[in-house]
Amino acid sequence: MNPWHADTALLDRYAHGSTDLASAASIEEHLLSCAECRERLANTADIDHVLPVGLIDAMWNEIADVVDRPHETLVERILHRVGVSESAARIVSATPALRLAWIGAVAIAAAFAVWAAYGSTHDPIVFLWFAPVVPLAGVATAFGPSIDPLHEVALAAPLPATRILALRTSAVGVTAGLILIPASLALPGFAAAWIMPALAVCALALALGTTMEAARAALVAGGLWVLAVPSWIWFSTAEPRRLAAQLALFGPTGQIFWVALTAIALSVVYLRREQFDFLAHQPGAAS
Amino acid sequence: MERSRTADPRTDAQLVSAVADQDREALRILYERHATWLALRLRRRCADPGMVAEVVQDTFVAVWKSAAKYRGDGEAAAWIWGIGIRRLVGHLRKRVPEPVPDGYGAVTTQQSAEDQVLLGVEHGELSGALNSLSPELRAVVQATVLDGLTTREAGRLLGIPAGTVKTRMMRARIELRGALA
Repeated sequence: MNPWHADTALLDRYAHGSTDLASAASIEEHLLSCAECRERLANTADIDHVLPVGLIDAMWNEIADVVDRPHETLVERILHRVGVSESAARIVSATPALRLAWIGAVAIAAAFAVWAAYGSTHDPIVFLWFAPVVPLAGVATAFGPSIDPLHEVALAAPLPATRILALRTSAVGVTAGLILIPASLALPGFAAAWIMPALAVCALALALGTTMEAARAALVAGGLWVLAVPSWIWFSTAEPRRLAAQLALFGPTGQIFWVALTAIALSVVYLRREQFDFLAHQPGAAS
Repeated sequence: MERSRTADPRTDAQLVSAVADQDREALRILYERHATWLALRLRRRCADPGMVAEVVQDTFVAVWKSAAKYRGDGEAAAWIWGIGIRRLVGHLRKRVPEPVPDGYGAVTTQQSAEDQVLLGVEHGELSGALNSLSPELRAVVQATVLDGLTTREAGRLLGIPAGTVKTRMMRARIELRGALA
């Protein structure tokens, strides 16, 4: 094939970096097309001076490690792209509330709520009532031994429990928003008014989560919300009562109240943040 | 590393297309055939052995991921080198520029006309002229003419601005022309 081959002495000198520019260039060009000389170079005597012993095998192990790694899921790849670390991306993407089945169920429920708001009553209160429950259900499953199949793994991850909780609740918030915001665009008037109450209820659940398990905390916060709307309607003195309740809960005053509640709840979360680690390590005490 | 693997009857090009079909064993054979010379050749362009190891690893991971892009025209070794030298440039860009090692004195990639002229004359006036260039000019000639890097990539590899690469290349041409006249 090749009439010319580099002699062993020359390959030796090349391996040790003691050839001049011209002959090194010749060798390198020749190596690109000559498998025989490549192999002879690899077998050059005392190449260990240049490449540490075992380096070739060690490098292969690193390569094999990357090659054999399971494919990143779409969610992980997106998170990775925006700068989330690998381990954090995995923990977020394993959030129960980000599974396709869950997202599908939520989308169907949202469609149903939109339909209910349109079809029967022509006011959006059914949707506004339902919407905050969606992110809340996500938060309930964001952290805690009773629901999360990855709970033990998440605890072992090199991240504080609060960080995991924050990562997952924001992931849940983003997905819930992606589903609910288009749905609320389909509604007349008040449609976006659910966002502040939703934040408030989630923040309340997190605040309660510093004293009890996440799922239970979400149940309490969600229960308060679910009861608040019909009972407000029930006890309203103004007529029509539904509209009065809607104004009270979702109107300007209502929104200010939700902002305040969110702020208070989040400060509680911040002040008691160490409790998450404590609770996380005591699943028995939490259940 | 056992010799038996390198004795695989498949050619490099066949191995690369097997790698494109996720054949892990083919990647392993390619690695065993090409890792050593690649590491040695990179070592002549980078004084940091740790970085060389990282670049070799990155290169073969890139081979694994982008084997489908190899069109089969030309040596697989040249394709691998093309990936390797650009990975090295990429790694160097992330770091504070370091002085070029003295060993940076030799290399090559695509068969440009200039290359062939250079390489056709193994001993003689040209090699004498090349070797008599100052280390700075030699490094620039190697990076651009022999390694086939662009002016910008060469600048990154050598830790100097692209403009400096251009002026040094111009000076090197003048010197070479003078020496060969």
